[in-house]
Amino acid sequence: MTNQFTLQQSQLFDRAATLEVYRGESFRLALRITGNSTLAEDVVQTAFLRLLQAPEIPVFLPELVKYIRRTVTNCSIDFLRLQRPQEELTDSLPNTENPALDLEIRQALSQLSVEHQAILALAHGEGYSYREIADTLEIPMGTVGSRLNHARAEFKKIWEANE
Amino acid sequence: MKERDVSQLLTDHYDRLVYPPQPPSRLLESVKDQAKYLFALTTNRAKALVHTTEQKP
Repeated sequence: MTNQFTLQQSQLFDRAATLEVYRGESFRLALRITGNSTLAEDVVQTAFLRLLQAPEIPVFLPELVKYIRRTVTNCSIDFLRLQRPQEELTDSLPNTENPALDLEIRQALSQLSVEHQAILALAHGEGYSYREIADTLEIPMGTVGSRLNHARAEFKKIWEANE
Repeated sequence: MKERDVSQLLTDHYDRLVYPPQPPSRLLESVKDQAKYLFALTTNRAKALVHTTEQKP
């Protein structure tokens, strides 16, 4: 019994040490999807707890990175779904060079579906390829292009209506 | 507004959303601390389970 716990503890701590390396990258990804630093912190905490609790996660690098990105993206989408529609954006946006413009853009983005918010952040924020987006969102490659086009068109419509 | 301008507007927006210079306070808790907490929780659950089982007639 003692040995079993020791083994679990050492495995858990090894995994924690591995995940620690990806914390900054994961926070940036969550921040770009949610546009909210407080929410992004919660996303990373929750995503990493899920990763620590998972019975198995990939060991090798490309698969591990994909798995972490997928978990953080799914958590970001879950948190965006739970967020109140009129939640105050001003206090939670990180300081940027152009806060007024960023707030306007974020308000327009928040009117899109969470799937569209996520795909725009992955494509324009993280610069992922279609293959990487397909892996992260677990959708076929063919769907990536059409969803991205719809998301951009919808954003354009909202943006122009607000001008 | 052209399609190209929409893409540029979004790319510039996401570029400005960079990792903050100071790590957010709640993120100072390391992943290892989360692991320690999780392990303690698991151990306590196991202990509680043993305790409950021992008390059964």
